[in-house]
Amino acid sequence: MPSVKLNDKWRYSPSSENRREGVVQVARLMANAAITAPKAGGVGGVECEIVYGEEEQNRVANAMEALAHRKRDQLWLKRFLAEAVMVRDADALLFVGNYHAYEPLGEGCGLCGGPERCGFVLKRRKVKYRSVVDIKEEAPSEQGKKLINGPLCTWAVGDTGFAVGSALLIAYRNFVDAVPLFSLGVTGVKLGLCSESPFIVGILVAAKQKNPFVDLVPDYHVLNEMNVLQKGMADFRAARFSIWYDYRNWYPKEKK
Amino acid sequence: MPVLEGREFYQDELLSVSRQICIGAQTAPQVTNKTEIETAIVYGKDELQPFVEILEAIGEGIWAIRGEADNLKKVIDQSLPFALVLIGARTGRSDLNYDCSACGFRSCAEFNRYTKNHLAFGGMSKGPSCSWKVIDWSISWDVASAIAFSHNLPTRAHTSLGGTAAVLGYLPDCDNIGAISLGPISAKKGRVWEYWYSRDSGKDEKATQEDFFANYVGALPSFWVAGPALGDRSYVKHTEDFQTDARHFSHHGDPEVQEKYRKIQAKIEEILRKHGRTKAGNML
Repeated sequence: MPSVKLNDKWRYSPSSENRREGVVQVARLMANAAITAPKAGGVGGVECEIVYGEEEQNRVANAMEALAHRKRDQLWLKRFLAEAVMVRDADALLFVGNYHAYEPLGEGCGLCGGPERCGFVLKRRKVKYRSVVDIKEEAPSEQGKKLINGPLCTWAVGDTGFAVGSALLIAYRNFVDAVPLFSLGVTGVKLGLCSESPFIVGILVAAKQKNPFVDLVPDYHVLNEMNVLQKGMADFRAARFSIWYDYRNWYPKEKK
Repeated sequence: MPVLEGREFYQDELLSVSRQICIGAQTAPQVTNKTEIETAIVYGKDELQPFVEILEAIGEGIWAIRGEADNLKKVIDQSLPFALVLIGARTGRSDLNYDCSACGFRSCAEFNRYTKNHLAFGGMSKGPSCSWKVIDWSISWDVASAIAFSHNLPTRAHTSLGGTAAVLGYLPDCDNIGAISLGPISAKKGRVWEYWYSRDSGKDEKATQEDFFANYVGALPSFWVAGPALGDRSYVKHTEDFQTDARHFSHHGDPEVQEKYRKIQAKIEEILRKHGRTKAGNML
Protein backbone atom coordinates (compact mmCIF):
# COMPACT_ATOMS: atom_id res chain seq x y z
CA MET A 1 0.00 0.00 0.00
CA PRO A 2 1.55 3.32 -0.98
CA SER A 3 1.99 5.66 1.94
CA VAL A 4 3.27 9.23 2.04
CA LYS A 5 4.29 10.42 5.46
CA LEU A 6 4.35 14.15 6.16
CA ASN A 7 5.54 15.96 9.26
CA ASP A 8 7.78 18.82 10.31
CA LYS A 9 9.88 16.89 12.83
CA TRP A 10 13.33 17.27 11.28
CA ARG A 11 14.24 19.88 8.78
CA TYR A 12 15.42 17.66 5.97
CA SER A 13 13.99 14.25 6.85
CA PRO A 14 12.10 12.43 4.06
CA SER A 15 8.75 13.08 5.74
CA SER A 16 9.58 16.78 6.12
CA GLU A 17 10.67 16.90 2.49
CA ASN A 18 7.28 15.43 1.51
CA ARG A 19 5.65 18.34 3.32
CA ARG A 20 8.02 20.83 1.74
CA GLU A 21 6.99 19.58 -1.71
CA GLY A 22 3.54 21.13 -1.15
CA VAL A 23 5.10 24.43 -0.09
CA VAL A 24 7.23 24.55 -3.22
CA GLN A 25 4.09 23.90 -5.29
CA VAL A 26 2.42 26.86 -3.57
CA ALA A 27 5.55 28.97 -4.18
CA ARG A 28 5.22 28.14 -7.89
CA LEU A 29 1.57 29.24 -7.84
CA MET A 30 2.66 32.39 -5.99
CA ALA A 31 5.16 33.09 -8.78
CA ASN A 32 2.41 32.66 -11.36
CA ALA A 33 0.19 35.08 -9.42
CA ALA A 34 3.09 37.55 -9.22
CA ILE A 35 3.53 37.41 -12.97
CA THR A 36 -0.17 37.89 -13.73
CA ALA A 37 -0.60 40.74 -11.20
CA PRO A 38 -1.61 44.13 -12.64
CA LYS A 39 1.16 46.13 -14.33
CA ALA A 40 1.42 49.84 -15.01
CA GLY A 41 0.73 50.36 -18.69
CA GLY A 42 0.55 46.59 -19.10
CA VAL A 43 4.34 46.60 -19.60
CA GLY A 44 5.55 44.52 -16.67
CA GLY A 45 8.97 43.01 -16.14
CA VAL A 46 8.36 40.83 -13.11
CA GLU A 47 10.53 37.75 -12.79
CA CYS A 48 10.62 35.19 -9.98
CA GLU A 49 13.10 32.73 -8.58
CA ILE A 50 12.38 29.99 -6.05
CA VAL A 51 15.21 28.81 -3.81
CA TYR A 52 14.96 25.84 -1.46
CA GLY A 53 17.15 23.14 0.03
CA GLU A 54 19.64 22.98 2.88
CA GLU A 55 22.72 24.23 1.07
CA GLU A 56 20.86 26.88 -0.95
CA GLN A 57 19.02 28.34 2.03
CA ASN A 58 22.20 28.37 4.12
CA ARG A 59 24.00 30.27 1.39
CA VAL A 60 21.29 32.95 1.36
CA ALA A 61 21.25 33.12 5.18
CA ASN A 62 25.05 33.52 5.30
CA ALA A 63 24.92 36.36 2.78
CA MET A 64 22.20 38.04 4.84
CA GLU A 65 24.34 37.75 7.97
CA ALA A 66 27.20 39.42 6.11
CA LEU A 67 24.88 42.35 5.26
CA ALA A 68 23.88 42.59 8.93
CA HIS A 69 27.24 44.22 9.66
CA ARG A 70 26.94 46.75 6.88
CA LYS A 71 25.56 49.45 9.17
CA ARG A 72 26.41 50.47 12.71
CA ASP A 73 22.84 50.18 13.79
CA GLN A 74 21.64 47.83 16.51
CA LEU A 75 18.15 47.45 15.02
CA TRP A 76 19.55 46.73 11.55
CA LEU A 77 22.02 44.16 12.94
CA LYS A 78 19.48 42.27 15.05
CA ARG A 79 16.85 42.39 12.32
CA PHE A 80 19.12 40.93 9.66
CA LEU A 81 20.46 38.27 12.04
CA ALA A 82 16.92 37.29 13.09
CA GLU A 83 15.70 37.15 9.52
CA ALA A 84 18.67 34.98 8.55
CA VAL A 85 17.35 32.46 11.09
CA MET A 86 13.95 32.65 9.39
CA VAL A 87 15.60 31.97 6.04
CA ARG A 88 16.97 28.71 7.48
CA ASP A 89 13.59 27.90 9.07
CA ALA A 90 11.62 28.54 5.87
CA ASP A 91 10.55 25.78 3.51
CA ALA A 92 11.14 27.85 0.38
CA LEU A 93 12.25 31.35 -0.60
CA LEU A 94 10.50 33.21 -3.39
CA PHE A 95 12.29 36.17 -4.95
CA VAL A 96 10.18 38.62 -6.93
CA GLY A 97 12.24 40.98 -9.06
CA ASN A 98 11.63 43.43 -11.87
CA TYR A 99 13.97 43.40 -14.88
CA HIS A 100 12.36 46.53 -16.27
CA ALA A 101 13.22 48.69 -13.27
CA TYR A 102 16.31 50.39 -14.80
CA GLU A 103 14.31 51.61 -17.75
CA PRO A 104 11.78 54.42 -17.16
CA LEU A 105 8.27 53.48 -18.20
CA GLY A 106 8.22 56.59 -20.37
CA GLU A 107 4.79 57.79 -19.32
CA GLY A 108 6.13 60.66 -17.23
CA CYS A 109 4.03 59.71 -14.21
CA GLY A 110 6.25 61.58 -11.76
CA LEU A 111 6.45 58.89 -9.09
CA CYS A 112 10.27 58.71 -9.14
CA GLY A 113 11.06 62.39 -9.26
CA GLY A 114 7.99 64.59 -9.58
CA PRO A 115 8.13 67.38 -12.17
CA GLU A 116 11.39 66.06 -13.65
CA ARG A 117 9.36 63.03 -14.77
CA CYS A 118 11.36 60.22 -16.43
CA GLY A 119 14.22 62.70 -16.73
CA PHE A 120 14.84 62.21 -13.00
CA VAL A 121 16.11 58.68 -13.65
CA LEU A 122 17.64 59.42 -17.06
CA LYS A 123 19.69 62.38 -15.73
CA ARG A 124 21.19 60.24 -13.01
CA ARG A 125 22.14 57.30 -15.20
CA LYS A 126 24.36 56.58 -18.15
CA VAL A 127 22.02 57.11 -21.07
CA LYS A 128 22.47 56.34 -24.76
CA TYR A 129 20.44 57.53 -27.68
CA ARG A 130 18.65 60.01 -25.39
CA SER A 131 16.53 57.48 -23.50
CA VAL A 132 18.20 54.04 -23.37
CA VAL A 133 19.78 53.34 -19.97
CA ASP A 134 23.15 51.64 -20.47
CA ILE A 135 23.72 49.85 -17.21
CA LYS A 136 26.75 47.91 -18.45
CA GLU A 137 28.87 51.03 -18.92
CA GLU A 138 28.23 52.51 -15.49
CA ALA A 139 31.17 52.31 -13.10
CA PRO A 140 30.85 49.08 -11.11
CA SER A 141 32.54 50.65 -8.06
CA GLU A 142 29.64 53.04 -7.72
CA GLN A 143 27.14 50.16 -7.87
CA GLY A 144 29.04 48.25 -5.21
CA LYS A 145 28.55 51.04 -2.66
CA LYS A 146 24.78 50.86 -2.87
CA LEU A 147 22.49 48.09 -1.66
CA ILE A 148 20.22 48.76 -4.63
CA ASN A 149 21.51 50.44 -7.75
CA GLY A 150 18.97 53.29 -7.95
CA PRO A 151 17.40 55.49 -9.10
CA LEU A 152 14.90 53.16 -10.72
CA CYS A 153 11.58 53.51 -12.45
CA THR A 154 9.35 53.74 -9.39
CA TRP A 155 6.35 52.52 -11.35
CA ALA A 156 8.29 49.33 -12.04
CA VAL A 157 8.97 49.18 -8.30
CA GLY A 158 5.22 49.62 -7.75
CA ASP A 159 4.54 46.79 -10.18
CA THR A 160 6.77 44.62 -8.03
CA GLY A 161 4.54 45.56 -5.09
CA PHE A 162 1.44 44.44 -7.00
CA ALA A 163 3.23 41.17 -7.76
CA VAL A 164 4.19 40.65 -4.12
CA GLY A 165 0.62 41.40 -2.99
CA SER A 166 -0.84 38.79 -5.33
CA ALA A 167 1.81 36.22 -4.37
CA LEU A 168 1.06 36.73 -0.68
CA LEU A 169 -2.68 36.32 -1.26
CA ILE A 170 -2.09 32.97 -2.96
CA ALA A 171 0.01 31.86 0.01
CA TYR A 172 -2.62 32.93 2.55
CA ARG A 173 -5.44 31.31 0.58
CA ASN A 174 -3.52 28.05 0.63
CA PHE A 175 -2.99 28.42 4.39
CA VAL A 176 0.75 28.61 3.96
CA ASP A 177 2.69 31.17 6.00
CA ALA A 178 4.48 33.83 3.98
CA VAL A 179 6.27 37.05 4.83
CA PRO A 180 7.83 39.65 2.50
CA LEU A 181 11.22 40.95 3.60
CA PHE A 182 13.40 43.91 2.72
CA SER A 183 16.52 42.08 3.96
CA LEU A 184 15.84 39.06 1.76
CA GLY A 185 15.32 41.35 -1.22
CA VAL A 186 18.66 43.11 -0.88
CA THR A 187 20.38 39.78 -0.16
CA GLY A 188 18.86 38.49 -3.40
CA VAL A 189 20.30 41.48 -5.24
CA LYS A 190 23.75 40.84 -3.73
CA LEU A 191 23.61 37.14 -4.69
CA GLY A 192 22.43 37.91 -8.22
CA LEU A 193 19.14 36.07 -7.85
CA CYS A 194 16.47 37.13 -10.37
CA SER A 195 19.65 37.92 -12.24
CA GLU A 196 18.30 40.67 -14.48
CA SER A 197 16.53 42.60 -11.72
CA PRO A 198 18.04 45.55 -9.82
CA PHE A 199 15.15 45.50 -7.37
CA ILE A 200 13.91 42.41 -5.53
CA VAL A 201 11.48 41.64 -2.72
CA GLY A 202 12.10 38.31 -1.01
CA ILE A 203 9.26 36.23 0.41
CA LEU A 204 9.75 33.46 2.94
CA VAL A 205 7.28 30.61 2.65
CA ALA A 206 6.66 27.84 5.15
CA ALA A 207 4.00 25.37 6.25
CA LYS A 208 4.92 24.36 9.77
CA GLN A 209 2.89 23.77 12.90
CA LYS A 210 4.30 26.98 14.31
CA ASN A 211 4.63 29.92 11.95
CA PRO A 212 8.42 30.45 12.01
CA PHE A 213 8.18 34.13 11.02
CA VAL A 214 6.35 35.56 14.04
CA ASP A 215 6.63 35.69 17.84
CA LEU A 216 10.34 36.38 17.97
CA VAL A 217 12.42 36.78 21.11
CA PRO A 218 15.41 39.14 21.49
CA ASP A 219 18.69 37.69 20.20
CA TYR A 220 16.70 35.37 17.96
CA HIS A 221 19.88 34.36 16.18
CA VAL A 222 20.91 32.72 19.48
CA LEU A 223 17.53 31.82 20.97
CA ASN A 224 15.86 29.99 18.12
CA GLU A 225 14.42 26.47 17.81
CA MET A 226 17.44 24.97 16.08
CA ASN A 227 19.94 26.45 18.53
CA VAL A 228 17.84 25.47 21.54
CA LEU A 229 17.59 21.96 20.13
CA GLN A 230 21.34 21.72 19.57
CA LYS A 231 22.16 23.23 22.94
CA GLY A 232 19.67 20.93 24.68
CA MET A 233 21.19 17.95 22.92
CA ALA A 234 24.68 19.00 23.99
CA ASP A 235 23.58 19.51 27.60
CA PHE A 236 21.84 16.13 27.66
CA ARG A 237 24.93 14.44 26.29
CA ALA A 238 27.13 16.16 28.85
CA ALA A 239 24.72 15.07 31.62
CA ARG A 240 24.97 11.43 30.49
CA PHE A 241 28.64 11.47 31.32
CA SER A 242 28.16 12.52 34.92
CA ILE A 243 26.18 9.46 36.06
CA TRP A 244 25.41 6.23 34.24
CA TYR A 245 24.87 2.50 34.81
CA ASP A 246 25.52 -0.91 33.22
CA TYR A 247 22.10 -1.48 31.62
CA ARG A 248 22.88 -5.16 30.89
CA ASN A 249 23.36 -6.24 34.51
CA TRP A 250 21.34 -3.93 36.79
CA TYR A 251 18.69 -1.19 36.87
CA PRO A 252 18.70 1.73 39.36
CA LYS A 253 16.33 1.09 42.29
CA GLU A 254 13.46 3.36 43.23
CA LYS A 255 14.16 5.42 46.35
CA LYS A 256 11.88 4.42 49.27
CA MET B 1 -44.04 37.40 -0.31
CA PRO B 2 -41.32 40.03 0.10
CA VAL B 3 -39.19 40.60 -2.97
CA LEU B 4 -35.87 42.40 -3.10
CA GLU B 5 -35.31 43.97 -6.51
CA GLY B 6 -31.61 43.75 -7.39
CA ARG B 7 -31.39 47.32 -8.61
CA GLU B 8 -32.57 48.62 -5.26
CA PHE B 9 -29.66 47.23 -3.28
CA TYR B 10 -26.75 47.19 -5.79
CA GLN B 11 -25.41 50.54 -4.56
CA ASP B 12 -25.64 49.51 -0.88
CA GLU B 13 -23.96 46.23 -1.62
CA LEU B 14 -21.16 47.97 -3.54
CA LEU B 15 -20.58 50.19 -0.53
CA SER B 16 -20.54 47.19 1.75
CA VAL B 17 -17.86 45.52 -0.41
CA SER B 18 -16.01 48.87 -0.59
CA ARG B 19 -15.80 48.85 3.19
CA GLN B 20 -14.36 45.34 3.12
CA ILE B 21 -11.86 46.50 0.52
CA CYS B 22 -10.79 49.42 2.72
CA ILE B 23 -10.23 47.06 5.63
CA GLY B 24 -8.35 44.65 3.36
CA ALA B 25 -6.13 47.47 2.09
CA GLN B 26 -5.56 48.81 5.59
CA THR B 27 -4.56 45.42 6.95
CA ALA B 28 -2.63 44.19 3.92
CA PRO B 29 0.80 42.70 4.59
CA GLN B 30 3.76 45.08 4.43
CA VAL B 31 7.47 44.81 3.92
CA THR B 32 8.32 47.68 6.27
CA ASN B 33 5.40 47.54 8.74
CA LYS B 34 5.82 51.32 8.90
CA THR B 35 3.73 52.58 5.99
CA GLU B 36 0.51 54.26 7.01
CA ILE B 37 -2.19 53.41 4.52
CA GLU B 38 -5.28 55.58 4.36
CA THR B 39 -8.52 54.75 2.61
CA ALA B 40 -11.71 56.48 1.57
CA ILE B 41 -14.82 55.70 -0.45
CA VAL B 42 -16.16 58.25 -2.92
CA TYR B 43 -19.60 57.86 -4.50
CA GLY B 44 -22.60 59.86 -5.59
CA LYS B 45 -23.12 62.35 -8.37
CA ASP B 46 -21.92 65.44 -6.52
CA GLU B 47 -18.65 63.91 -5.40
CA LEU B 48 -17.87 62.33 -8.77
CA GLN B 49 -18.71 65.35 -10.91
CA PRO B 50 -15.35 67.16 -10.31
CA PHE B 51 -13.54 63.92 -11.29
CA VAL B 52 -15.34 63.87 -14.64
CA GLU B 53 -14.60 67.53 -15.32
CA ILE B 54 -10.88 67.20 -14.55
CA LEU B 55 -10.55 63.97 -16.52
CA GLU B 56 -12.36 65.54 -19.48
CA ALA B 57 -9.97 68.48 -19.36
CA ILE B 58 -6.92 66.19 -19.31
CA GLY B 59 -8.57 64.01 -21.93
CA GLU B 60 -8.36 66.87 -24.37
CA GLY B 61 -4.61 66.34 -24.36
CA ILE B 62 -4.22 62.68 -23.49
CA TRP B 63 -6.35 60.21 -25.37
CA ALA B 64 -6.13 57.43 -22.76
CA ILE B 65 -7.81 59.63 -20.16
CA ARG B 66 -10.78 60.33 -22.42
CA GLY B 67 -12.06 56.80 -21.83
CA GLU B 68 -12.02 57.27 -18.07
CA ALA B 69 -13.92 60.56 -18.37
CA ASP B 70 -16.52 59.12 -20.78
CA ASN B 71 -17.16 56.08 -18.62
CA LEU B 72 -17.45 58.02 -15.40
CA LYS B 73 -19.78 60.51 -17.09
CA LYS B 74 -22.01 57.61 -18.13
CA VAL B 75 -22.07 56.41 -14.53
CA ILE B 76 -23.32 59.80 -13.38
CA ASP B 77 -25.75 60.42 -16.25
CA GLN B 78 -27.40 57.01 -15.94
CA SER B 79 -27.19 56.94 -12.10
CA LEU B 80 -25.50 53.54 -12.22
CA PRO B 81 -24.42 51.82 -9.00
CA PHE B 82 -20.78 52.79 -8.54
CA ALA B 83 -18.16 53.44 -5.87
CA LEU B 84 -14.56 54.60 -5.98
CA VAL B 85 -12.15 53.30 -3.36
CA LEU B 86 -9.09 55.44 -2.67
CA ILE B 87 -5.94 53.97 -1.18
CA GLY B 88 -3.23 56.43 -0.26
CA ALA B 89 0.15 56.49 1.42
CA ARG B 90 2.82 58.99 2.32
CA THR B 91 5.49 57.85 -0.12
CA GLY B 92 7.57 61.03 -0.23
CA ARG B 93 9.16 60.63 3.17
CA SER B 94 11.21 57.78 4.60
CA ASP B 95 11.40 56.92 8.29
CA LEU B 96 13.10 53.61 7.47
CA ASN B 97 16.81 54.40 7.63
CA TYR B 98 17.56 51.49 5.23
CA ASP B 99 19.89 53.69 3.14
CA CYS B 100 19.34 51.23 0.28
CA SER B 101 19.63 53.83 -2.56
CA ALA B 102 16.76 52.38 -4.60
CA CYS B 103 15.40 55.94 -4.85
CA GLY B 104 18.72 57.14 -6.22
CA PHE B 105 19.90 59.00 -3.11
CA ARG B 106 22.75 57.73 -0.96
CA SER B 107 20.75 57.69 2.26
CA CYS B 108 17.24 58.12 3.59
CA ALA B 109 18.32 61.41 5.19
CA GLU B 110 19.51 62.74 1.82
CA PHE B 111 16.23 61.60 0.24
CA ASN B 112 14.20 63.37 2.93
CA ARG B 113 16.23 66.56 2.56
CA TYR B 114 15.50 66.55 -1.18
CA THR B 115 11.80 65.70 -1.01
CA LYS B 116 11.19 68.36 1.64
CA ASN B 117 11.47 71.00 -1.08
CA HIS B 118 11.00 69.05 -4.29
CA LEU B 119 8.05 66.69 -3.75
CA ALA B 120 5.58 67.47 -6.53
CA PHE B 121 3.38 66.04 -9.25
CA GLY B 122 5.05 64.86 -12.40
CA GLY B 123 2.12 63.38 -14.28
CA MET B 124 -0.54 61.68 -12.21
CA SER B 125 1.82 60.85 -9.36
CA LYS B 126 4.04 62.74 -6.94
CA GLY B 127 7.72 62.10 -6.53
CA PRO B 128 10.42 61.40 -5.54
CA SER B 129 9.18 58.35 -3.64
CA CYS B 130 10.68 55.84 -1.24
CA SER B 131 10.67 52.51 -3.09
CA TRP B 132 9.77 50.49 0.01
CA LYS B 133 6.85 52.79 0.85
CA VAL B 134 5.73 52.37 -2.76
CA ILE B 135 6.00 48.58 -2.39
CA ASP B 136 3.73 48.65 0.70
CA TRP B 137 1.29 51.02 -0.98
CA SER B 138 1.20 48.80 -4.08
CA ILE B 139 0.62 45.66 -2.00
CA SER B 140 -2.38 47.38 -0.38
CA TRP B 141 -3.67 48.51 -3.74
CA ASP B 142 -3.24 44.99 -5.16
CA VAL B 143 -4.91 43.28 -2.19
CA ALA B 144 -7.81 45.73 -2.49
CA SER B 145 -8.19 44.93 -6.19
CA ALA B 146 -8.10 41.22 -5.43
CA ILE B 147 -10.94 41.60 -2.92
CA ALA B 148 -13.07 43.38 -5.55
CA PHE B 149 -12.20 40.66 -8.07
CA SER B 150 -13.14 37.92 -5.59
CA HIS B 151 -16.60 39.48 -5.35
CA ASN B 152 -16.97 39.26 -9.14
CA LEU B 153 -17.38 43.02 -9.38
CA PRO B 154 -16.43 45.07 -12.43
CA THR B 155 -13.26 46.79 -11.28
CA ARG B 156 -10.04 48.38 -12.41
CA ALA B 157 -7.06 50.01 -10.72
CA HIS B 158 -6.82 53.60 -11.97
CA THR B 159 -3.82 55.88 -11.64
CA SER B 160 -5.82 58.63 -13.32
CA LEU B 161 -8.67 58.62 -10.79
CA GLY B 162 -6.19 58.33 -7.93
CA GLY B 163 -4.13 61.27 -9.20
CA THR B 164 -7.32 63.30 -9.69
CA ALA B 165 -8.40 62.47 -6.14
CA ALA B 166 -5.05 63.76 -4.88
CA VAL B 167 -5.48 67.00 -6.83
CA LEU B 168 -9.00 67.38 -5.44
CA GLY B 169 -7.58 67.18 -1.94
CA TYR B 170 -8.80 63.77 -0.80
CA LEU B 171 -6.64 62.01 1.82
CA PRO B 172 -4.55 65.14 2.38
CA ASP B 173 -1.86 63.36 4.40
CA CYS B 174 -1.04 61.05 1.51
CA ASP B 175 1.43 61.90 -1.24
CA ASN B 176 0.06 59.36 -3.70
CA ILE B 177 -3.39 57.88 -4.05
CA GLY B 178 -4.42 54.80 -5.97
CA ALA B 179 -8.03 54.34 -6.98
CA ILE B 180 -10.14 51.25 -7.59
CA SER B 181 -13.46 51.53 -9.35
CA LEU B 182 -16.25 49.25 -8.14
CA GLY B 183 -18.97 48.85 -10.68
CA PRO B 184 -20.78 50.29 -12.44
CA ILE B 185 -23.41 47.59 -12.51
CA SER B 186 -25.53 47.90 -15.58
CA ALA B 187 -27.89 45.59 -17.39
CA LYS B 188 -26.06 46.03 -20.68
CA LYS B 189 -22.51 45.36 -19.62
CA GLY B 190 -22.53 42.82 -16.87
CA ARG B 191 -19.19 41.14 -17.13
CA VAL B 192 -16.18 42.19 -15.13
CA TRP B 193 -13.86 43.16 -17.96
CA GLU B 194 -16.02 45.02 -20.36
CA TYR B 195 -16.76 48.34 -18.74
CA TRP B 196 -13.29 49.60 -17.89
CA TYR B 197 -11.27 47.56 -20.36
CA SER B 198 -12.49 47.19 -23.91
CA ARG B 199 -14.19 50.54 -23.63
CA ASP B 200 -16.83 52.10 -25.81
CA SER B 201 -15.19 55.51 -25.72
CA GLY B 202 -13.87 56.15 -29.18
CA LYS B 203 -17.04 54.87 -30.74
CA ASP B 204 -19.19 57.48 -32.47
CA GLU B 205 -16.31 58.48 -34.71
CA LYS B 206 -14.26 59.89 -31.86
CA ALA B 207 -11.36 57.70 -32.88
CA THR B 208 -10.60 57.29 -36.52
CA GLN B 209 -8.33 54.72 -38.10
CA GLU B 210 -5.88 57.56 -38.65
CA ASP B 211 -5.79 58.19 -34.87
CA PHE B 212 -4.82 54.58 -34.23
CA PHE B 213 -2.19 54.68 -36.96
CA ALA B 214 -0.77 57.99 -35.73
CA ASN B 215 -0.59 56.60 -32.19
CA TYR B 216 1.50 53.61 -33.25
CA VAL B 217 3.85 55.39 -35.62
CA GLY B 218 4.23 58.13 -33.01
CA ALA B 219 5.62 55.56 -30.58
CA LEU B 220 7.37 53.32 -33.10
CA PRO B 221 8.18 55.65 -36.01
CA SER B 222 9.84 53.10 -38.27
CA PHE B 223 7.37 50.29 -37.74
CA TRP B 224 5.51 49.24 -40.86
CA VAL B 225 6.64 52.27 -42.80
CA ALA B 226 10.42 51.99 -43.17
CA GLY B 227 12.92 49.27 -43.99
CA PRO B 228 16.71 49.08 -43.91
CA ALA B 229 18.42 49.79 -47.20
CA LEU B 230 21.76 48.33 -48.28
CA GLY B 231 24.39 50.75 -46.99
CA ASP B 232 22.17 53.74 -47.49
CA ARG B 233 19.59 55.53 -45.35
CA SER B 234 16.55 53.46 -44.55
CA TYR B 235 13.95 53.66 -47.22
CA VAL B 236 10.40 54.69 -46.53
CA LYS B 237 7.75 52.24 -47.58
CA HIS B 238 5.11 54.85 -47.01
CA THR B 239 4.94 58.24 -48.72
CA GLU B 240 7.92 60.39 -49.66
CA ASP B 241 7.17 63.05 -47.07
CA PHE B 242 6.65 60.59 -44.22
CA GLN B 243 9.63 61.66 -42.13
CA THR B 244 8.80 65.33 -42.34
CA ASP B 245 5.09 64.91 -41.81
CA ALA B 246 4.28 66.87 -38.67
CA ARG B 247 1.49 64.49 -37.76
CA HIS B 248 3.95 61.77 -36.90
CA PHE B 249 6.85 63.58 -35.27
CA SER B 250 6.93 66.27 -32.61
CA HIS B 251 9.02 67.07 -29.57
CA HIS B 252 8.32 68.31 -26.06
CA GLY B 253 9.34 71.84 -26.87
CA ASP B 254 6.44 72.21 -29.29
CA PRO B 255 4.86 75.55 -28.29
CA GLU B 256 1.50 74.45 -29.65
CA VAL B 257 1.41 71.44 -27.31
CA GLN B 258 2.70 73.50 -24.40
CA GLU B 259 -0.04 76.04 -24.97
CA LYS B 260 -2.66 73.28 -25.10
CA TYR B 261 -1.41 71.84 -21.81
CA ARG B 262 -1.28 75.29 -20.23
CA LYS B 263 -4.93 75.78 -21.15
CA ILE B 264 -5.85 72.38 -19.71
CA GLN B 265 -4.07 73.23 -16.46
CA ALA B 266 -5.90 76.56 -16.28
CA LYS B 267 -9.16 74.70 -16.86
CA ILE B 268 -8.36 72.24 -14.05
CA GLU B 269 -7.70 75.14 -11.69
CA GLU B 270 -10.97 76.74 -12.72
CA ILE B 271 -12.82 73.47 -12.00
CA LEU B 272 -11.13 73.23 -8.61
CA ARG B 273 -12.16 76.79 -7.75
CA LYS B 274 -15.72 76.10 -8.90
CA HIS B 275 -15.97 73.15 -6.52
CA GLY B 276 -14.37 75.07 -3.69
CA ARG B 277 -11.17 73.00 -3.64
CA THR B 278 -8.21 75.09 -2.80
CA LYS B 279 -5.49 72.45 -2.83
CA ALA B 280 -4.58 72.62 -6.49
CA GLY B 281 -1.65 70.71 -7.96
CA ASN B 282 -0.02 70.88 -11.34
CA MET B 283 -0.78 67.59 -13.06
CA LEU B 284 0.46 68.37 -16.53
